[in-house]
Amino acid sequence: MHQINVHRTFVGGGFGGKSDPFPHEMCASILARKSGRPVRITFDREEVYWINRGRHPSHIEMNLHADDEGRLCGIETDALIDGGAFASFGHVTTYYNGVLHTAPYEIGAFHYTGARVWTNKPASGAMRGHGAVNSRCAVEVGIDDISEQLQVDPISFRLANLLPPHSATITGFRVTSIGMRECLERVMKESGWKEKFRKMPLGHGIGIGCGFFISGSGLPIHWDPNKFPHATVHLKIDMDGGVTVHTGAADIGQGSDTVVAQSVAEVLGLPLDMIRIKSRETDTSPVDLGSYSSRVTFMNANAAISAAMEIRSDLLNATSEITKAPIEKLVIGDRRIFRKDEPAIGVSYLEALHKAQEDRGALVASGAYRTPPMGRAHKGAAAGLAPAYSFSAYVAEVKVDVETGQTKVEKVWAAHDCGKALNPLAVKGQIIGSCHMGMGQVLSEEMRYGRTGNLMNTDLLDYKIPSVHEMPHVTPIIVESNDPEGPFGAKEAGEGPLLPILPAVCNAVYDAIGVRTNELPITPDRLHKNIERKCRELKIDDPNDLPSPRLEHSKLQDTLEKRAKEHSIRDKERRLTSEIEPYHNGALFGMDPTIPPDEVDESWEVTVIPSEEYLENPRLAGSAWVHTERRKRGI
Amino acid sequence: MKMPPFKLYSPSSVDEAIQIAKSLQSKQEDFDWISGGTDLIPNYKWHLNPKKNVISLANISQLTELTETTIGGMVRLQDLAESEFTHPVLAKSANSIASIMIRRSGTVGGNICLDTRCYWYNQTEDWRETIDWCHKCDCGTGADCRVIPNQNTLCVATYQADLAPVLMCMEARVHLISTSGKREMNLIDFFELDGMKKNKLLPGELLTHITIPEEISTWSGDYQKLRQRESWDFPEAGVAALWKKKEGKLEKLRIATTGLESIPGYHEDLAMELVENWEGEESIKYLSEKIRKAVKPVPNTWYTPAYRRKMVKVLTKRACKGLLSE
Repeated sequence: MHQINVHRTFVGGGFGGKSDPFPHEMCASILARKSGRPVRITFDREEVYWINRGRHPSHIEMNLHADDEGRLCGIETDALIDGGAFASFGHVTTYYNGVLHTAPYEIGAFHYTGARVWTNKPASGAMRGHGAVNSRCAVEVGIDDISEQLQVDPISFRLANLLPPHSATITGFRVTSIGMRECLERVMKESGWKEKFRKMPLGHGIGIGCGFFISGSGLPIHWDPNKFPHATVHLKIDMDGGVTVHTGAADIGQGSDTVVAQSVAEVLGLPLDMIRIKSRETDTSPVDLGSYSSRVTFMNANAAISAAMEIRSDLLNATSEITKAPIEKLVIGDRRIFRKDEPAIGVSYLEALHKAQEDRGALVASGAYRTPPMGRAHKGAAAGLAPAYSFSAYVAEVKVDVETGQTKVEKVWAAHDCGKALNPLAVKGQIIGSCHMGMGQVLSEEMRYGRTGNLMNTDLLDYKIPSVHEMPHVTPIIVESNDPEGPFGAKEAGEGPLLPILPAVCNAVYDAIGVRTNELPITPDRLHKNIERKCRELKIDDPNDLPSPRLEHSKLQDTLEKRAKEHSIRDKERRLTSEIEPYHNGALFGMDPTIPPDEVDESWEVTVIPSEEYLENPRLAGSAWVHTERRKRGI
Repeated sequence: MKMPPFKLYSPSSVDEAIQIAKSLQSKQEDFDWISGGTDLIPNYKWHLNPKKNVISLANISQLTELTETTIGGMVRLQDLAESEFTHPVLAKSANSIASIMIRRSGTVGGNICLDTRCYWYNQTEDWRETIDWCHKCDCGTGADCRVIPNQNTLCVATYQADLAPVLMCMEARVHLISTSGKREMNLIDFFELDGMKKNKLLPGELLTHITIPEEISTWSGDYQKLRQRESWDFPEAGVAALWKKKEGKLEKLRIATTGLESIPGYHEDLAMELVENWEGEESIKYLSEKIRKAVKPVPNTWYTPAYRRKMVKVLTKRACKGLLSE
């Protein structure tokens, strides 16, 4: 590592597809070394499709079970995902497809089979919302469907089945702050849900979707969380008081430089213009693991805070020496350190700094962040572990043309729990940007292969990214749940906001015309086919005569509303109390909340390879295990 | 992906342009006309039949005339859409072409003579090499058509331009010029059923302007277009309908379609049948079904042919909606 110095230029757009170590990066470096000249490798649009790692196309079969009290008593998921020709991050994706839908709901049982298959297509890898997006869409659409069958409001169903703050999911994830309930309540209110849901005329619909995502992967990519920290930040302050921050976090347009500067400025009571960020050269910056897994704000800002706290204590010691005031009475204000109870007694920031520098010169500090020990021991338990989780709930309002199958998303109300918005503008930007990206996946973007195996739409004219005309009016709603371990309470806002837009649009399309589409993207031709099928089923000639779905509440609705109210009080109490009792998933089903369910029930075991019994009658993913090669032609 | 080099000529009058074309022809050198370049340049970048010489028409002010009855070949699409002289239906179709940036550059002549498009043709050179080329750009290999294999006589690439169906309904006439003189013909006769030949332009011939009969200003109508996005996308199907009523009675109706075959379709008989047996909504339904049966799209664009045919029916119904209300 000491032989190579990487200069990072400012580049925008990460989205996961560039996290692999690519051959062309090595080629460029070696060529440059050999030739002693700068080397640049550029791709045309078609080559980008081969190189960049996109999202895994997946077939997901999912069974959701609910009991007569409206509890989500089981989720069975079977996912077959198309990995393309190389591994990339595929193993992680395979786990994520399962484990990332075990929250925010309390579930009675969980079973997941996943297989990633090799195909002769470009490799799939990590992409914004890594592994969680597709299965999340399935869960949320499933919940909409189950609520329809139970004749209850899907938001009430969700509100009555949420995990409380400071709890553990069925797979043993430690969940700290949860703003899910507030997200749901806010979007319900802002969108006028109760007046619109199942009440709008044919062709107009409204739908809800939720999301849950990790805020920094618990297991670092160097695989040794006990030996090395996740993130490190170095600080240096010299005579003039300006702070130089060395961090390796790559700012790829998400504003990581800003957030690190803000954290240091906040701790030291300095204006932002006194902070300089040096994050572009590996010779001077500490090792950083990269901008992935929505980890930068959480981990780097925490490391920056810990480094700044060290400097802060040096400054307080120096002040205490000058003023003879006890350290615990001192506070830092705007470039001044003074007694809390007697503000007149104090010194300026520079005085304290110069005193602290007397014997040692510039103040230098190093801060690091490491995740606390988490998770269980079973194989795969580390996938999806994170020091905190973000939550979100979106409501989408759509207009569907029943004759052509064209869907237009008109409005989106997007609530995201990011713990604490350190940079509200950036959080809003992430939410709106996520809506755009998710709209592409749910309505139009698709890689199409012809009968010869060629990718047919290798250009931006035929790869249909939504244009400004397709973009709905998005109302971003920031929910702050103040995470106890996040920097100033913050969690991620980069990937989580993408998840709920897909199911929200799918459910809104159902609300508009009563037709479910189980294949994405919902292009007009696909939806039109389903509309035609529905018309044939109902023996209707003109799709304009289709019945619009309506809802008459069953008795269960009252039960759910009552439980939601009780849970709301429970959640508030758990959030405010300082002595937190453990709460393990399963308490809603009468199990002991203080003990993990697998320790109570021996039959709760984790198998990694499908059982013989399962393979006798395999479903999608199981069939990949017993797959024999087939070749077929046809478009 | 570098564009092959070409020599650019920039004549300032039609005569000069023709002379340049003539001298190139006499030297056996091939060339292309370029007006807005929004279609030709991307094709050149993909090495789709690039020529050694390109004659630009940008400096010829004679070709930018725009009145109620005359539209020059070099009139920019956005100017046509915004002009007070333009018939509202023509303005609607012009305004729906691609995006505003392309409309500011693209021209009327270029849109009418638009190259046909196909998933197996509009691809990079490397891509096309992997399928051993195709009929339309066979690079001297005599390759077969990839959309409908086992026939290498006809190219089925799709004509995806918006102006032609409306202008056909207006019975517009195209005016052509070449070294052997001027000629004019109905736009309806201008197209030739073959994705490679596309139209009746001879080598070295140039579309100077189109003329529209004066009485068209009293006609009403509509243009309907199918596409995934409201911007950029070429029409996957398009239907233009223009009609004339006298004292509330339907007198004449013309219907044309685009984006479905190698040339735009003009449905004279079907329109006439409707006028003769006009019975309101039922007639429109009957006509829509007839038009659905009359068009034969192939699988070489974003939507499936089956869907495009079904949508022609819906588009026709919507384009003719005005027949009922007035």
